[in-house]
Amino acid sequence: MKSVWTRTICRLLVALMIWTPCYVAQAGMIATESVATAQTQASADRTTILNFIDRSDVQARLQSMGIDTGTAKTRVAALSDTEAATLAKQIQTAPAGADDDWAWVLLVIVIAAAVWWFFFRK
Amino acid sequence: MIARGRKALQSARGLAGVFVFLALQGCAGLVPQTSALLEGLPEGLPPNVELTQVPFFPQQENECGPASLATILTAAGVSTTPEALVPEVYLPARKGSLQVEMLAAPRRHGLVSYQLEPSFVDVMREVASGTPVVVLQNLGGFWDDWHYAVVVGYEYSLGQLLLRSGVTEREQMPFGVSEFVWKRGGYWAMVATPPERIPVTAREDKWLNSLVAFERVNDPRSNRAAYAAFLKRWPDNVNAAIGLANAHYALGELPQAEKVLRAALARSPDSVVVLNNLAQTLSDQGRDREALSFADKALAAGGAHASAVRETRDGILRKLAAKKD
Repeated sequence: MKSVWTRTICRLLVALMIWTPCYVAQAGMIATESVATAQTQASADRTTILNFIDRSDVQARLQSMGIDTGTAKTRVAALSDTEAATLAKQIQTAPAGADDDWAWVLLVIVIAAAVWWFFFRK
Repeated sequence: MIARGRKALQSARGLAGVFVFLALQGCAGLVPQTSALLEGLPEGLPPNVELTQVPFFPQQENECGPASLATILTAAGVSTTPEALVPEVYLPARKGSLQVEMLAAPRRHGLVSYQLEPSFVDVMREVASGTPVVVLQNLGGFWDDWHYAVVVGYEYSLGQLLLRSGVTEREQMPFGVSEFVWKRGGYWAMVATPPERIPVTAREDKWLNSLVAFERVNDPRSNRAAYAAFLKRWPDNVNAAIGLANAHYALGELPQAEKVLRAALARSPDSVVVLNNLAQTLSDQGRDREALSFADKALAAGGAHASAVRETRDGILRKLAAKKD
């Protein structure tokens, strides 16, 4: 019979495992991500920023944009460290592909008005 | 996108395109890549390409991100729909999908995503090799109107790109207009391919970064295939060898991991990571004395991974001490 405490600790450990940055994939082995990142990042301070990127913070930002907790978690998990940092910084400002057709309607009206003004106005 | 008045909007868009194109005729500097392209078809490119088998998913309101992504994912052999991808890339508060998330989503379906160089010719090369390309366009006049579309072909003689875009299955867009709206989208373009199929325009270092991001959410078996394919194309890359060895290690294939690391060591005798990982692999096979000599070399080399190396070495020393007892 498992006690409540055992279960709580298990859950906590699982949560911690999920949220520990996956730098070292296995004990003793240095992971590819840390090698590749360290070698391609020219400036040292950039590397520092990447090392300290707080994924739960990125997740919270996604949640504030209308994504539920579970989905936000899996979405952040699929990001590389560089991407997570980018997302955190640009979530409000980066272009988000979205079609807005009213803008086109407006453009056509403006052009039509201009044509009428210059060619048909008596 | 609203169904009512769709035709009118389409023709309005076409008309606006003509206006933009006419405006561009006089100012080639606005579309430098098109000007270069019109001087002659680059070597190795066929004059006409159309990937007719690439599916078409007409987009729902504001969901050009999921629709474009579903298009290239399905073309790469993944079974999905725009609706299924909405929870993966759509951001309700922004009414759209961010580029980083467009890049992240294919990984969750076993594909490697790759952001292309900001080159029109590279987009054409990818399409010519059979890979559809997602491009970010800014279709707004004096305001921002972001849109994702999928390039599925081109007709060089007619000077136009062929796209799956919004609710249009086969949009024909002149090179100049395509470049203009794409340039305003920051020349952003991406592809997603199975790890064994490296995009023709992929660059060694950038593809490695793509694999590292892929590795994070995929199992060691896929990672093994991914790094093996990488080494087939760029056999001398030590970091990819480390990746392949890590995948072998994760699968418990220690002799294979050792073989890959030894080959990498021959090319890069001072790599701390190769030395450390080889030491760990040997130690796990019970060859701690041999392992210690590599760990010592790794420690002597110092560098950013010193603390990890120290841990590896301590582990080996502990096992050696236990054997003596």
